[in-house]
Amino acid sequence: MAYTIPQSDDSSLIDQEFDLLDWRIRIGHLDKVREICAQILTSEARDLGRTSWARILCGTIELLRLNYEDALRNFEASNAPPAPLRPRAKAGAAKSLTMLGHIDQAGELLQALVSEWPNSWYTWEASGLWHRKKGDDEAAWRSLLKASALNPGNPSTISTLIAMGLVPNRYHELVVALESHLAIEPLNLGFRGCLVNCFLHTGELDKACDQARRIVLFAPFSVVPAELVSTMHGLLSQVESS
Amino acid sequence: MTHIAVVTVPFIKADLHRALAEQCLDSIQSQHTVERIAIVNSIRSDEDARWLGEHFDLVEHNDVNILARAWNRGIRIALDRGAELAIVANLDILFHPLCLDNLLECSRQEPEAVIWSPVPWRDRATFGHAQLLPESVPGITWSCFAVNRKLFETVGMFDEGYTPAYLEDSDMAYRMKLVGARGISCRAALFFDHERGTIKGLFDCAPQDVQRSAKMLADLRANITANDERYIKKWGGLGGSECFTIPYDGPPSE
Repeated sequence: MAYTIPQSDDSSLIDQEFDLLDWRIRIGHLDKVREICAQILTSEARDLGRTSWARILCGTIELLRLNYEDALRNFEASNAPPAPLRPRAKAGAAKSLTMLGHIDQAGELLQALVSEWPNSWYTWEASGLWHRKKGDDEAAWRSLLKASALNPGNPSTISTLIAMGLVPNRYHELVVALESHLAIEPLNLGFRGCLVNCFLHTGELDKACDQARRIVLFAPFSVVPAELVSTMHGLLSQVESS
Repeated sequence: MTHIAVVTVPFIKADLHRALAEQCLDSIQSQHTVERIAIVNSIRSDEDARWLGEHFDLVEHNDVNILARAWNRGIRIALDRGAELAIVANLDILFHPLCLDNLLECSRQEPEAVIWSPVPWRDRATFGHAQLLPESVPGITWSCFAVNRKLFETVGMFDEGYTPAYLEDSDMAYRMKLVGARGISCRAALFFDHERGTIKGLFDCAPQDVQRSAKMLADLRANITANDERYIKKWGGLGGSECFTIPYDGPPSE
Protein backbone atom coordinates (compact mmCIF):
# COMPACT_ATOMS: atom_id res chain seq x y z
CA MET A 1 0.00 0.00 0.00
CA ALA A 2 1.25 3.49 -0.76
CA TYR A 3 0.09 7.02 -1.21
CA THR A 4 -1.14 7.98 -4.64
CA ILE A 5 1.12 10.74 -5.91
CA PRO A 6 0.37 11.78 -9.49
CA GLN A 7 3.31 11.53 -11.86
CA SER A 8 3.41 14.96 -13.32
CA ASP A 9 5.82 17.40 -14.86
CA ASP A 10 7.49 18.90 -11.77
CA SER A 11 7.62 22.31 -13.38
CA SER A 12 3.85 22.61 -13.05
CA LEU A 13 3.70 21.80 -9.35
CA ILE A 14 3.78 24.24 -6.47
CA ASP A 15 5.45 23.43 -3.18
CA GLN A 16 3.27 23.32 -0.03
CA GLU A 17 5.81 25.47 1.80
CA PHE A 18 5.49 28.17 -0.87
CA ASP A 19 1.71 28.23 -0.48
CA LEU A 20 1.99 28.58 3.29
CA LEU A 21 4.60 31.36 3.13
CA ASP A 22 2.68 33.21 0.43
CA TRP A 23 -0.39 33.13 2.70
CA ARG A 24 1.72 34.43 5.58
CA ILE A 25 2.70 37.40 3.42
CA ARG A 26 -1.00 38.08 2.81
CA ILE A 27 -1.68 38.19 6.55
CA GLY A 28 1.28 40.48 7.12
CA HIS A 29 4.10 38.26 8.40
CA LEU A 30 6.60 39.98 6.12
CA ASP A 31 9.66 39.88 8.39
CA LYS A 32 9.22 36.23 9.27
CA VAL A 33 8.77 35.15 5.65
CA ARG A 34 11.76 37.19 4.55
CA GLU A 35 13.84 35.53 7.28
CA ILE A 36 12.76 32.04 6.14
CA CYS A 37 13.44 32.91 2.49
CA ALA A 38 16.87 34.28 3.40
CA GLN A 39 17.69 30.94 5.00
CA ILE A 40 16.56 29.11 1.86
CA LEU A 41 18.66 31.39 -0.34
CA THR A 42 21.81 31.10 1.77
CA SER A 43 21.51 27.41 2.57
CA GLU A 44 24.51 25.36 1.51
CA ALA A 45 22.30 22.62 0.13
CA ARG A 46 20.42 24.95 -2.19
CA ASP A 47 17.64 23.52 -4.22
CA LEU A 48 16.99 25.33 -7.49
CA GLY A 49 13.22 24.93 -7.21
CA ARG A 50 13.07 26.34 -3.69
CA THR A 51 15.44 29.24 -4.33
CA SER A 52 13.39 30.14 -7.36
CA TRP A 53 10.12 30.52 -5.47
CA ALA A 54 11.90 32.06 -2.47
CA ARG A 55 13.01 34.85 -4.84
CA ILE A 56 9.40 35.43 -5.88
CA LEU A 57 8.33 35.70 -2.26
CA CYS A 58 11.19 38.12 -1.50
CA GLY A 59 10.23 40.18 -4.56
CA THR A 60 6.61 40.28 -3.39
CA ILE A 61 7.67 41.50 0.06
CA GLU A 62 9.95 44.19 -1.38
CA LEU A 63 7.16 45.39 -3.68
CA LEU A 64 4.86 45.70 -0.66
CA ARG A 65 7.57 47.65 1.14
CA LEU A 66 8.09 49.90 -1.92
CA ASN A 67 11.74 48.78 -2.26
CA TYR A 68 11.54 48.50 -6.03
CA GLU A 69 15.27 47.96 -6.73
CA ASP A 70 15.31 44.96 -4.41
CA ALA A 71 12.00 43.71 -5.74
CA LEU A 72 13.31 43.82 -9.32
CA ARG A 73 16.54 42.07 -8.36
CA ASN A 74 14.59 39.24 -6.74
CA PHE A 75 12.05 38.80 -9.50
CA GLU A 76 14.78 38.78 -12.16
CA ALA A 77 16.76 36.20 -10.19
CA SER A 78 13.85 33.76 -9.96
CA ASN A 79 15.08 31.46 -12.70
CA ALA A 80 12.55 28.96 -14.00
CA PRO A 81 9.99 28.93 -11.19
CA PRO A 82 7.10 26.43 -11.39
CA ALA A 83 5.06 27.20 -14.50
CA PRO A 84 2.00 28.66 -12.70
CA LEU A 85 4.28 31.18 -10.95
CA ARG A 86 6.02 32.45 -14.09
CA PRO A 87 3.52 35.21 -14.95
CA ARG A 88 3.72 36.37 -11.34
CA ALA A 89 7.52 36.67 -11.51
CA LYS A 90 7.43 38.51 -14.84
CA ALA A 91 4.60 40.80 -13.73
CA GLY A 92 6.49 41.54 -10.51
CA ALA A 93 9.52 42.57 -12.54
CA ALA A 94 7.32 44.71 -14.82
CA LYS A 95 5.72 46.44 -11.82
CA SER A 96 9.13 47.11 -10.25
CA LEU A 97 10.48 48.56 -13.52
CA THR A 98 7.38 50.72 -13.84
CA MET A 99 7.74 52.10 -10.34
CA LEU A 100 11.44 52.76 -10.94
CA GLY A 101 10.46 54.83 -13.99
CA HIS A 102 11.88 52.42 -16.59
CA ILE A 103 8.70 52.69 -18.62
CA ASP A 104 10.08 51.40 -21.94
CA GLN A 105 11.68 48.32 -20.41
CA ALA A 106 8.52 47.62 -18.44
CA GLY A 107 6.49 48.03 -21.63
CA GLU A 108 8.57 45.38 -23.43
CA LEU A 109 8.08 42.99 -20.55
CA LEU A 110 4.34 43.65 -20.56
CA GLN A 111 4.09 42.94 -24.27
CA ALA A 112 5.64 39.55 -23.60
CA LEU A 113 3.26 38.99 -20.68
CA VAL A 114 0.19 39.86 -22.74
CA SER A 115 1.20 37.53 -25.54
CA GLU A 116 2.24 34.63 -23.29
CA TRP A 117 -0.28 34.89 -20.41
CA PRO A 118 -3.30 36.89 -21.60
CA ASN A 119 -5.54 35.12 -19.08
CA SER A 120 -3.46 35.83 -16.01
CA TRP A 121 -4.64 38.57 -13.67
CA TYR A 122 -0.99 39.32 -12.89
CA THR A 123 -0.55 40.44 -16.50
CA TRP A 124 -3.45 42.90 -16.36
CA GLU A 125 -2.69 44.24 -12.92
CA ALA A 126 0.87 45.07 -13.99
CA SER A 127 -0.50 46.53 -17.20
CA GLY A 128 -2.88 48.74 -15.20
CA LEU A 129 -0.06 50.08 -13.10
CA TRP A 130 2.04 50.76 -16.20
CA HIS A 131 -0.74 52.67 -18.00
CA ARG A 132 -1.46 54.64 -14.86
CA LYS A 133 2.17 55.60 -14.51
CA LYS A 134 2.09 56.77 -18.13
CA GLY A 135 -0.94 58.91 -17.36
CA ASP A 136 -3.36 56.91 -19.50
CA ASP A 137 -6.11 56.45 -16.93
CA GLU A 138 -8.63 55.01 -19.36
CA ALA A 139 -6.29 52.18 -20.47
CA ALA A 140 -5.29 51.60 -16.85
CA TRP A 141 -8.95 51.34 -15.84
CA ARG A 142 -9.66 48.78 -18.59
CA SER A 143 -6.62 46.68 -17.62
CA LEU A 144 -7.57 46.69 -13.97
CA LEU A 145 -11.15 45.71 -14.73
CA LYS A 146 -9.76 42.74 -16.67
CA ALA A 147 -7.51 41.83 -13.74
CA SER A 148 -10.47 42.04 -11.40
CA ALA A 149 -12.67 39.91 -13.65
CA LEU A 150 -9.95 37.24 -13.81
CA ASN A 151 -9.41 37.24 -10.04
CA PRO A 152 -12.28 39.01 -8.26
CA GLY A 153 -10.98 38.01 -4.83
CA ASN A 154 -7.76 40.00 -5.11
CA PRO A 155 -8.05 43.02 -2.81
CA SER A 156 -5.12 45.00 -4.26
CA THR A 157 -6.75 45.35 -7.69
CA ILE A 158 -10.02 46.40 -6.08
CA SER A 159 -8.22 48.99 -3.94
CA THR A 160 -6.70 50.56 -7.06
CA LEU A 161 -10.03 50.43 -8.85
CA ILE A 162 -11.65 52.24 -5.92
CA ALA A 163 -8.93 54.87 -5.99
CA MET A 164 -9.62 55.45 -9.69
CA GLY A 165 -13.29 54.61 -9.86
CA LEU A 166 -15.05 57.10 -7.65
CA VAL A 167 -15.88 59.35 -10.59
CA PRO A 168 -19.27 59.56 -12.33
CA ASN A 169 -18.70 57.48 -15.44
CA ARG A 170 -17.10 54.61 -13.55
CA TYR A 171 -19.50 53.89 -10.70
CA HIS A 172 -21.40 51.14 -12.50
CA GLU A 173 -18.23 49.23 -13.46
CA LEU A 174 -16.86 49.67 -9.96
CA VAL A 175 -20.08 48.21 -8.56
CA VAL A 176 -19.60 45.06 -10.68
CA ALA A 177 -16.01 44.65 -9.45
CA LEU A 178 -16.97 45.28 -5.82
CA GLU A 179 -19.95 42.93 -5.91
CA SER A 180 -17.81 40.18 -7.46
CA HIS A 181 -15.21 40.66 -4.75
CA LEU A 182 -17.76 40.69 -1.93
CA ALA A 183 -19.34 37.50 -3.23
CA ILE A 184 -15.99 35.85 -2.42
CA GLU A 185 -14.98 37.94 0.59
CA PRO A 186 -18.24 39.15 2.17
CA LEU A 187 -16.45 40.21 5.36
CA ASN A 188 -14.53 43.09 3.76
CA LEU A 189 -16.34 45.99 5.41
CA GLY A 190 -14.21 48.69 3.83
CA PHE A 191 -15.10 47.54 0.32
CA ARG A 192 -18.74 47.16 1.36
CA GLY A 193 -18.62 50.79 2.52
CA CYS A 194 -17.35 51.79 -0.95
CA LEU A 195 -20.22 49.87 -2.49
CA VAL A 196 -22.66 51.95 -0.44
CA ASN A 197 -20.90 55.05 -1.70
CA CYS A 198 -21.21 53.88 -5.33
CA PHE A 199 -24.93 53.09 -4.94
CA LEU A 200 -25.54 56.52 -3.47
CA HIS A 201 -23.87 58.07 -6.49
CA THR A 202 -25.77 55.92 -8.98
CA GLY A 203 -29.02 56.76 -7.20
CA GLU A 204 -29.73 53.16 -6.18
CA LEU A 205 -30.80 54.10 -2.68
CA ASP A 206 -32.45 50.77 -1.78
CA LYS A 207 -29.26 48.92 -2.53
CA ALA A 208 -27.22 51.52 -0.64
CA CYS A 209 -29.48 51.12 2.39
CA ASP A 210 -29.28 47.31 2.25
CA GLN A 211 -25.49 47.36 2.23
CA ALA A 212 -25.31 50.07 4.89
CA ARG A 213 -27.64 48.08 7.16
CA ARG A 214 -25.40 45.04 6.84
CA ILE A 215 -22.37 47.03 7.91
CA VAL A 216 -24.07 48.74 10.82
CA LEU A 217 -25.84 45.61 12.08
CA PHE A 218 -23.06 43.08 11.52
CA ALA A 219 -20.15 45.18 12.72
CA PRO A 220 -21.53 47.90 14.99
CA PHE A 221 -18.21 48.36 16.76
CA SER A 222 -15.96 48.71 13.73
CA VAL A 223 -14.81 52.06 12.41
CA VAL A 224 -16.58 51.52 9.06
CA PRO A 225 -20.13 52.35 10.25
CA ALA A 226 -18.94 55.68 11.64
CA GLU A 227 -17.18 56.55 8.40
CA LEU A 228 -20.20 55.45 6.47
CA VAL A 229 -22.61 57.56 8.42
CA SER A 230 -20.49 60.65 7.84
CA THR A 231 -20.18 59.87 4.10
CA MET A 232 -23.92 59.35 3.81
CA HIS A 233 -24.63 62.60 5.65
CA GLY A 234 -22.28 64.43 3.30
CA LEU A 235 -23.82 62.95 0.17
CA LEU A 236 -27.40 63.39 1.30
CA SER A 237 -26.78 67.03 2.21
CA GLN A 238 -25.33 67.56 -1.29
CA VAL A 239 -28.49 66.03 -2.76
CA GLU A 240 -30.70 68.24 -0.57
CA SER A 241 -28.82 71.45 -1.41
CA SER A 242 -29.04 70.76 -5.13
CA MET B 1 -13.96 -2.29 -1.47
CA THR B 2 -13.33 -0.13 1.56
CA HIS B 3 -16.15 1.92 3.02
CA ILE B 4 -15.39 5.44 4.28
CA ALA B 5 -17.77 8.18 5.36
CA VAL B 6 -17.75 11.94 5.03
CA VAL B 7 -19.58 13.45 8.00
CA THR B 8 -20.75 17.05 7.75
CA VAL B 9 -22.92 19.36 9.82
CA PRO B 10 -25.05 21.53 7.52
CA PHE B 11 -25.91 24.99 8.83
CA ILE B 12 -27.71 26.65 5.94
CA LYS B 13 -28.98 30.17 6.54
CA ALA B 14 -27.99 31.81 3.26
CA ASP B 15 -27.55 30.94 -0.40
CA LEU B 16 -23.79 31.18 0.02
CA HIS B 17 -23.86 28.40 2.64
CA ARG B 18 -25.56 26.11 0.16
CA ALA B 19 -23.34 27.14 -2.74
CA LEU B 20 -20.20 26.39 -0.72
CA ALA B 21 -21.69 23.08 0.46
CA GLU B 22 -22.49 22.09 -3.11
CA GLN B 23 -18.93 22.82 -4.23
CA CYS B 24 -17.60 20.83 -1.29
CA LEU B 25 -19.74 17.78 -2.07
CA ASP B 26 -18.90 18.01 -5.77
CA SER B 27 -15.21 17.83 -4.92
CA ILE B 28 -15.51 14.43 -3.18
CA GLN B 29 -13.62 11.78 -5.14
CA SER B 30 -12.43 8.34 -4.13
CA GLN B 31 -11.80 4.88 -5.47
CA HIS B 32 -13.56 3.56 -2.34
CA THR B 33 -17.22 3.63 -1.35
CA VAL B 34 -17.92 7.02 0.21
CA GLU B 35 -21.05 7.45 2.30
CA ARG B 36 -22.17 11.06 2.79
CA ILE B 37 -23.70 11.69 6.19
CA ALA B 38 -25.34 14.97 7.26
CA ILE B 39 -26.18 15.77 10.85
CA VAL B 40 -28.22 18.91 10.30
CA ASN B 41 -27.81 21.76 12.76
CA SER B 42 -30.01 24.27 11.00
CA ILE B 43 -31.64 24.85 7.61
CA ARG B 44 -34.09 27.43 6.25
CA SER B 45 -36.83 25.55 4.50
CA ASP B 46 -38.29 22.41 2.95
CA GLU B 47 -36.33 23.29 -0.16
CA ASP B 48 -33.08 23.03 1.80
CA ALA B 49 -34.33 19.70 3.23
CA ARG B 50 -35.03 18.42 -0.28
CA TRP B 51 -31.55 19.51 -1.40
CA LEU B 52 -29.97 17.68 1.52
CA GLY B 53 -31.92 14.55 0.65
CA GLU B 54 -30.58 14.66 -2.89
CA HIS B 55 -26.95 15.25 -1.88
CA PHE B 56 -26.50 12.96 1.12
CA ASP B 57 -26.91 9.23 1.69
CA LEU B 58 -28.09 9.77 5.25
CA VAL B 59 -29.63 12.90 6.78
CA GLU B 60 -30.32 13.18 10.49
CA HIS B 61 -31.27 16.25 12.48
CA ASN B 62 -29.37 17.30 15.57
CA ASP B 63 -31.69 17.80 18.53
CA VAL B 64 -29.85 20.98 19.56
CA ASN B 65 -27.58 23.31 17.61
CA ILE B 66 -24.29 22.12 19.10
CA LEU B 67 -21.44 21.25 16.76
CA ALA B 68 -19.72 18.82 19.15
CA ARG B 69 -22.98 16.89 19.55
CA ALA B 70 -23.37 16.65 15.77
CA TRP B 71 -19.76 15.49 15.36
CA ASN B 72 -20.16 12.81 18.06
CA ARG B 73 -23.38 11.56 16.54
CA GLY B 74 -22.10 11.63 12.96
CA ILE B 75 -18.90 9.79 13.82
CA ARG B 76 -20.77 7.12 15.79
CA ILE B 77 -23.27 6.59 12.99
CA ALA B 78 -20.54 6.39 10.34
CA LEU B 79 -18.51 3.82 12.27
CA ASP B 80 -21.59 1.80 13.26
CA ARG B 81 -22.53 1.59 9.59
CA GLY B 82 -19.18 0.00 8.85
CA ALA B 83 -16.97 2.87 7.75
CA GLU B 84 -13.28 2.24 8.32
CA LEU B 85 -12.75 5.98 8.64
CA ALA B 86 -15.10 8.88 9.40
CA ILE B 87 -13.90 12.07 7.73
CA VAL B 88 -15.46 15.06 9.48
CA ALA B 89 -15.46 18.10 7.23
CA ASN B 90 -16.71 21.66 7.25
CA LEU B 91 -18.88 22.35 4.25
CA ASP B 92 -16.81 25.36 3.12
CA ILE B 93 -13.84 23.30 1.93
CA LEU B 94 -12.85 21.65 -1.33
CA PHE B 95 -11.22 18.23 -1.33
CA HIS B 96 -8.21 17.61 -3.55
CA PRO B 97 -9.10 14.69 -5.85
CA LEU B 98 -6.69 12.41 -3.95
CA CYS B 99 -7.45 13.77 -0.49
CA LEU B 100 -9.77 11.05 0.81
CA ASP B 101 -7.78 8.10 -0.52
CA ASN B 102 -4.47 9.39 0.74
CA LEU B 103 -6.00 10.23 4.11
CA LEU B 104 -7.23 6.64 4.38
CA GLU B 105 -3.77 5.43 3.41
CA CYS B 106 -2.24 7.67 6.08
CA SER B 107 -4.54 6.20 8.74
CA ARG B 108 -3.33 2.75 7.74
CA GLN B 109 0.34 3.68 7.63
CA GLU B 110 0.21 5.52 10.96
CA PRO B 111 -2.24 3.48 13.05
CA GLU B 112 -0.82 4.74 16.33
CA ALA B 113 -2.42 8.18 15.75
CA VAL B 114 -6.05 8.88 16.69
CA ILE B 115 -6.76 11.74 14.29
CA TRP B 116 -5.52 12.21 10.72
CA SER B 117 -5.91 15.55 8.94
CA PRO B 118 -5.35 16.67 5.41
CA VAL B 119 -3.27 19.82 4.97
CA PRO B 120 -4.97 23.11 4.02
CA TRP B 121 -4.01 24.81 0.77
CA ARG B 122 -4.40 28.58 0.92
CA ASP B 123 -4.55 29.81 -2.67
CA ARG B 124 -7.55 28.67 -4.66
CA ALA B 125 -5.90 29.74 -7.92
CA THR B 126 -3.00 27.31 -7.53
CA PHE B 127 -4.85 24.47 -5.74
CA GLY B 128 -4.87 22.40 -8.92
CA HIS B 129 -1.07 22.62 -9.10
CA ALA B 130 -0.37 21.60 -5.51
CA GLN B 131 2.45 19.16 -4.99
CA LEU B 132 1.55 16.14 -2.85
CA LEU B 133 4.21 14.73 -0.54
CA PRO B 134 4.18 11.14 0.78
CA GLU B 135 4.84 12.13 4.40
CA SER B 136 3.09 13.25 7.54
CA VAL B 137 3.81 15.85 10.20
CA PRO B 138 2.38 16.43 13.69
CA GLY B 139 -0.76 18.57 13.91
CA ILE B 140 -4.50 18.65 13.29
CA THR B 141 -6.62 20.93 11.13
CA TRP B 142 -10.11 20.94 12.59
CA SER B 143 -11.91 22.06 9.45
CA CYS B 144 -11.29 18.55 8.13
CA PHE B 145 -10.12 15.55 10.12
CA ALA B 146 -10.55 11.80 10.11
CA VAL B 147 -11.09 9.41 12.99
CA ASN B 148 -11.84 5.77 13.68
CA ARG B 149 -13.03 4.09 16.87
CA LYS B 150 -9.74 4.69 18.62
CA LEU B 151 -10.42 8.38 19.31
CA PHE B 152 -13.55 7.75 21.40
CA GLU B 153 -12.00 4.69 23.07
CA THR B 154 -8.78 6.38 24.15
CA VAL B 155 -9.72 10.06 24.57
CA GLY B 156 -13.51 10.16 24.65
CA MET B 157 -16.10 12.13 22.73
CA PHE B 158 -16.12 15.83 21.94
CA ASP B 159 -17.34 17.89 24.89
CA GLU B 160 -20.91 18.99 24.12
CA GLY B 161 -20.81 21.77 26.69
CA TYR B 162 -19.40 24.25 24.18
CA THR B 163 -22.49 25.77 22.57
CA PRO B 164 -23.18 26.15 19.73
CA ALA B 165 -19.55 25.80 18.58
CA TYR B 166 -15.98 26.95 19.24
CA LEU B 167 -13.34 25.41 21.51
CA GLU B 168 -14.69 21.85 21.33
CA ASP B 169 -11.67 21.22 19.09
CA SER B 170 -9.12 22.79 21.46
CA ASP B 171 -10.68 20.82 24.30
CA MET B 172 -10.18 17.57 22.38
CA ALA B 173 -6.60 18.54 21.42
CA TYR B 174 -5.73 19.20 25.07
CA ARG B 175 -7.30 15.97 26.25
CA MET B 176 -5.35 14.13 23.56
CA LYS B 177 -2.18 15.72 24.86
CA LEU B 178 -3.01 14.64 28.42
CA VAL B 179 -3.34 10.99 27.42
CA GLY B 180 -0.45 11.05 24.95
CA ALA B 181 -2.61 10.55 21.85
CA ARG B 182 -1.30 11.84 18.54
CA GLY B 183 -2.88 13.76 15.71
CA ILE B 184 -1.08 13.99 12.42
CA SER B 185 -1.37 15.91 9.17
CA CYS B 186 -0.93 14.05 5.92
CA ARG B 187 0.93 16.02 3.26
CA ALA B 188 -0.32 13.69 0.54
CA ALA B 189 -3.88 14.82 1.31
CA LEU B 190 -4.85 18.44 0.71
CA PHE B 191 -7.96 20.57 0.86
CA PHE B 192 -8.76 24.18 0.08
CA ASP B 193 -10.51 26.10 2.85
CA HIS B 194 -12.74 29.09 2.10
CA GLU B 195 -12.44 29.88 5.83
CA ARG B 196 -15.24 31.29 7.96
CA GLY B 197 -17.86 30.14 5.46
CA THR B 198 -20.63 30.26 8.08
CA ILE B 199 -19.98 33.90 8.96
CA LYS B 200 -19.40 34.88 5.33
CA GLY B 201 -22.78 33.38 4.49
CA LEU B 202 -24.48 35.38 7.24
CA PHE B 203 -22.98 38.60 5.82
CA ASP B 204 -24.12 37.60 2.35
CA CYS B 205 -27.71 36.73 3.31
CA ALA B 206 -30.82 37.90 1.46
CA PRO B 207 -31.89 41.51 2.25
CA GLN B 208 -34.94 40.34 4.24
CA ASP B 209 -32.71 38.16 6.45
CA VAL B 210 -30.18 40.83 7.45
CA GLN B 211 -31.73 41.56 10.84
CA ARG B 212 -32.00 37.87 11.74
CA SER B 213 -28.46 37.08 10.55
CA ALA B 214 -27.05 40.00 12.52
CA LYS B 215 -28.78 38.72 15.65
CA MET B 216 -27.34 35.27 15.01
CA LEU B 217 -23.87 36.75 14.66
CA ALA B 218 -24.23 38.77 17.86
CA ASP B 219 -25.39 35.64 19.73
CA LEU B 220 -22.46 33.73 18.30
CA ARG B 221 -20.04 36.37 19.58
CA ALA B 222 -21.60 36.17 23.03
CA ASN B 223 -21.37 32.38 22.98
CA ILE B 224 -17.73 32.52 21.98
CA THR B 225 -17.01 34.62 25.07
CA ALA B 226 -19.00 32.17 27.21
CA ASN B 227 -17.06 29.25 25.73
CA ASP B 228 -13.77 31.00 26.50
CA GLU B 229 -14.88 31.36 30.10
CA ARG B 230 -15.96 27.74 30.27
CA TYR B 231 -12.65 26.56 28.82
CA ILE B 232 -10.71 28.58 31.37
CA LYS B 233 -12.82 27.17 34.22
CA LYS B 234 -12.36 23.65 32.89
CA TRP B 235 -8.63 23.73 32.16
CA GLY B 236 -7.26 26.73 34.11
CA GLY B 237 -6.32 28.76 31.02
CA LEU B 238 -6.96 29.19 27.32
CA GLY B 239 -5.29 27.09 24.60
CA GLY B 240 -1.56 26.73 25.29
CA SER B 241 -1.90 28.06 28.87
CA GLU B 242 -3.88 25.22 30.40
CA CYS B 243 -2.73 24.23 33.89
CA PHE B 244 -5.24 21.59 35.07
CA THR B 245 -4.80 17.93 34.23
CA ILE B 246 -8.25 17.04 35.55
CA PRO B 247 -11.29 19.06 34.37
CA TYR B 248 -12.17 21.87 36.78
CA ASP B 249 -9.05 20.91 38.74
CA GLY B 250 -10.74 17.86 40.16
CA PRO B 251 -14.01 17.31 41.97
CA PRO B 252 -15.03 20.02 44.45
CA SER B 253 -13.82 19.29 47.98
CA GLU B 254 -16.48 18.53 50.61
